[in-house]
Amino acid sequence: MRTLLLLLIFSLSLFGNSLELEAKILSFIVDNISTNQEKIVFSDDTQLLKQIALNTKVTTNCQDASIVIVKDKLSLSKECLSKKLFVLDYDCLEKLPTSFGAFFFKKGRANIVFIEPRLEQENIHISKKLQPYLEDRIW
Amino acid sequence: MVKVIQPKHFLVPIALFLLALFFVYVYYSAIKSKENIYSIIENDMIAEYHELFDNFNNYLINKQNIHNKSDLFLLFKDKQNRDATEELLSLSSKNVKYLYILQKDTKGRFRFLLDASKTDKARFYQKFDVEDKAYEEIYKTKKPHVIHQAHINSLYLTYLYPLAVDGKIIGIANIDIDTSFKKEIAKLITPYELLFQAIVVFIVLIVVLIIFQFFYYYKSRHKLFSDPLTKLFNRHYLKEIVEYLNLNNYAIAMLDLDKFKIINDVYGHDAGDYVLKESAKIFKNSIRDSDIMIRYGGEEFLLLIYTRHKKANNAIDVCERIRTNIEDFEFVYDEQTIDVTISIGLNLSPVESKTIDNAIKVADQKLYIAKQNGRNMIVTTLSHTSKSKLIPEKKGVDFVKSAIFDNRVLCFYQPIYDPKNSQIVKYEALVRIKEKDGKIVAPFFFMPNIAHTNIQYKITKLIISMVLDKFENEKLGVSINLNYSDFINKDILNLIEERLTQNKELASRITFEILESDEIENIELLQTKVQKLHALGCKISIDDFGSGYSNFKTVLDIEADYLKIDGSLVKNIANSTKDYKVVKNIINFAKDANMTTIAEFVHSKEVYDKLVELDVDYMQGFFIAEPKPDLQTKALFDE
Repeated sequence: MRTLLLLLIFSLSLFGNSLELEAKILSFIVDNISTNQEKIVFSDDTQLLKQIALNTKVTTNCQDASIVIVKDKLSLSKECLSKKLFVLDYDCLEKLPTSFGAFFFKKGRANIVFIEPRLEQENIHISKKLQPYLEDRIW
Repeated sequence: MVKVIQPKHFLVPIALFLLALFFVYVYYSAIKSKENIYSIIENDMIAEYHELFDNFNNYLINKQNIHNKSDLFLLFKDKQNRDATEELLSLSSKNVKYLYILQKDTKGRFRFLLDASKTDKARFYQKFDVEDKAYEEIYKTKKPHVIHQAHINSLYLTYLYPLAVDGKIIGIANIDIDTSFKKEIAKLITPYELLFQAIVVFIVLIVVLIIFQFFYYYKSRHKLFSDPLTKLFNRHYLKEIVEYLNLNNYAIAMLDLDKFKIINDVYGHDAGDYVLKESAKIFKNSIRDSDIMIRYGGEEFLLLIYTRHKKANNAIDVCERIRTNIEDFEFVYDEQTIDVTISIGLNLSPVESKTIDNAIKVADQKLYIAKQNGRNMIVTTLSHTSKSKLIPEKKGVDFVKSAIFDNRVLCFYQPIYDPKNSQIVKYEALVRIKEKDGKIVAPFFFMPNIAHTNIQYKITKLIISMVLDKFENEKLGVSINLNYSDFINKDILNLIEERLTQNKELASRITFEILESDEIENIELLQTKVQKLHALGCKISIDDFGSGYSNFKTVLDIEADYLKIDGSLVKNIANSTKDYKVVKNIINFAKDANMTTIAEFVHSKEVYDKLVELDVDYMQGFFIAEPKPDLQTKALFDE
């Protein structure tokens, strides 16, 4: 399963630009998680949101979103931060205790992390494809 | 199809091409050198990091007392140890972007134990998703791995070093090298690279330009050297190749389509062009690649037949193939079938003629013989007919020109005898040229060579003037030979009219003889001219009747006053019953047509007597009198 995602990352890194790559990986992640609500994505990164919109249902209004992809937590309202949060920086996982996962580049390599207790807390389920990225804690 | 190539023309593009190849090679070598430089520096760096990690591994074992992966985990779990080790490792080369120690956890995922990188630092035991199989491989091979990073931005390579204790991997020391050193080397090499590129592009452009020019040159050459109608080579091509042509290797043939002027007149010029084009195709299919066919003039072609290492028969075979192929081909134009044949004069040993011009002349003389002997044949020797034995001594245009200029053109007069009254009734004017050494040259040796040229018209005008001057104050008449082209030449007719319009008495004594063997292209035109001469009071004679191709109707159409029987028939009259009968019939025909008959070539008493028996009107020949500059008043036998 992990190989599939790695293949996606590899092929996208070959042919696409980094924003497109990020958006496709995020769409893949959204596709492979399930919540009790309809998955409507919002992000404070408008460029990224435009790219995600190509594959995933998005909203430009945070209030209408069920999942918020956070680039900068300071730009988000309290109401927004109460949604299901997916962050774009590993450190953010710590700063936003309700965030359930992160996608980021570490030393040039794409990395994905899901914090298992937070997934349970937010009532989020991930598919088998994302299982290899599960962590029980933040290091 | 340029057959003779001038090799020197190809040296320039070949040299430039080789030069371009050389520069491409040098450029390629420069690129390779750049790669080699990268490789050398890369190896140096790897050796340096290898040594660093060797020492680090020893340090862990000997100084830190690490025996397994748990020891390593515990060592770096302590922040102080981490900081100290990071400081130790961060002293490495400036090309290092990231330096870190990874360890595989129980689930097989790689985690940071230590990160000595200055940027993008990872936390202790943070998961690290790696894509490359080398991370797994290193656990099997236990040897360092180098990953050339093509897809990670700003990274050039990753060096993986297995930290091991007693052959067991306890972690992986990781170094990511950025592309800065490559950029620095590229910066140094780029100006030279650009220079080479510019030189190569320049040379390639020059080569392309020269190739284009050569292409254009050869295209122009092809246009210049080929005949647009037949697509055969033209005479320019012969001039171009003549200096490279080795006459030892060729036989030379002159080819001429028989009665082509008649084809043009009867079927039209488009049909003539069709015949030429089809004939050219037949030539191409009949000759070999090594042979060269040139359109030499209107319907005249020159063939250079390659004979090196081959028998002369090959040249004859080629000519025979052409002759039969032309003869067998059905030329159909505008639903009309045109009979076409070809005459060929073949010079099998052009080298004996020393120059190509002379060799062509010899072939031309043989062609002339072929034409004289009935056409549609190949003549290879000058002794094909009795006449042709004399041909090698023939004189050309320059000879006649110089004779006109030096006033060495003479007129001889041969008496024409009336056997009934035993008296000379008139003379035939015969042109002669006196050579510088005083030797007299007969017209046979120069007239064929100047046929249809301005020189022919000049000499005809000169003879007319000389004869009219001489006979102005004489009592007897004189015959002047004109050929068909003289008859239709305006200048000649103007001269005759100018001289005779005001002198009817002289005009009545002048007879113009037209050769029956001449190819009369337009009988109506000739009739008009004859009528004009008749109107002046002149008489017309058909010369050499029986030697040519005209039928009786043509002779009647000309409305001649005299019919001169050809010497080839007359000379054998005493011995040949056949010739006797022919001459007899000609005389009867002439009498019926109200024409006076003259028999020429009367060379013996026997011939004379036979002609008397046949009741010929007049006679002419050496038995009666030879041509002389003066007017002879008596026959030889009367004297």
